[in-house]
Amino acid sequence: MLQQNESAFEELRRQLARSVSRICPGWLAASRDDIVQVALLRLVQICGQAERSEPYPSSYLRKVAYSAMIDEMRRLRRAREVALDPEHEDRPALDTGSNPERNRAGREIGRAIEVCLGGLRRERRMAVTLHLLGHPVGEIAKLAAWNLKRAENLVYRGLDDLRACLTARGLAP
Amino acid sequence: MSKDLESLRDAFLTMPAGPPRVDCPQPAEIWEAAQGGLSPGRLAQVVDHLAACMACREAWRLASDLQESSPEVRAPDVIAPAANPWWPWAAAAAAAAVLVVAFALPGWGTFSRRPRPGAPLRGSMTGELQSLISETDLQPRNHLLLRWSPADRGARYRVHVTTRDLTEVAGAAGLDAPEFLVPEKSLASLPPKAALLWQVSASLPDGRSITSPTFVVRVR
Repeated sequence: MLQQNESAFEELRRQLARSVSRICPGWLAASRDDIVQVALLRLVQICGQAERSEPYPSSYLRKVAYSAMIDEMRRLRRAREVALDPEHEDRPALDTGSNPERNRAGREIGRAIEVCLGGLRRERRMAVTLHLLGHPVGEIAKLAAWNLKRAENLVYRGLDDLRACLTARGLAP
Repeated sequence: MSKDLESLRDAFLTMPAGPPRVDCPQPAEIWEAAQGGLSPGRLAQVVDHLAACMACREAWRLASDLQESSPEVRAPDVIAPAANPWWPWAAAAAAAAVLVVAFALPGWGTFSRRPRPGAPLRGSMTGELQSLISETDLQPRNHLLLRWSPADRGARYRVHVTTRDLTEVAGAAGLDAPEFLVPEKSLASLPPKAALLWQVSASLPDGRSITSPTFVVRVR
């Protein structure tokens, strides 16, 4: 029985580690083991509080690993440990290579997009934001509980608004 | 995808992310939102936030990536704890083993720094609840008062105190003040200079709950 449970525990750790390593950004690689450990401790705590005996769905394990990782990213950023490191100062959040000039231009457009999105009508803002995050129209419709036609309209009208705003700011895309 | 949309997307997703803001949604909420598990009203609020917060956009993308990814190695769909309730304690013991190793290694830490007095040993993921007592000074056994930074007004706290091998020493729930006096009798059997682990969680009036890192306290 003990062997069986130990093996279940090891499998649990492996699953958490897999989830963390699948999405862990390179700059956080040194903290991977810590993140897995924290996720394990959280499961232990949840398990103890709920006196749980049912199995954990792997989707739940992924969520726990994800939460532990985002918390760690926030903690590090809050502590400014990354921002204070000149080597990392210009590093974009999502790694797209290291071209400082492109990064600077991208930052300027990125900030302008944020400002322009803030001026869009709310539903268009939501549609465009989700689209810029990489979601196709069908997924946006599903997430926002819109029909496909409505989602399509909101995305395209919103993108038009966004382009017009950027052009008005001298940043034609 | 048109080229201009591609460049918009690049610019929108590659800005440097700053420190978290006070209104950043909890990771679990971003996860739920990316999975389609929030009400349309709440989703709209979260997406409004994403439109202005690069760090949360990054968190959203990571959630989407993890939700979409299929396991590299086919793993069982579920991990079953033991039929008897020892499972969490086996997991806890294994986790505790790491903590013990951590104590034994000078300069241990994520960044190989010596832990600061009062700094969390492990799991310092939230930052909202921090210990207000020293981890290095010995505390009186007849008046071991655990104190922590308060959460929002109206928060209710739950505290767990355990030994290093995660044997329960004391605990309380429903506390409305950010402190807990550990009953002297529950410390009677501990050896001198024993180290205890403690953790506090807070239930906030808005329904959220936050959990502290695990702290250490030593008793005379």
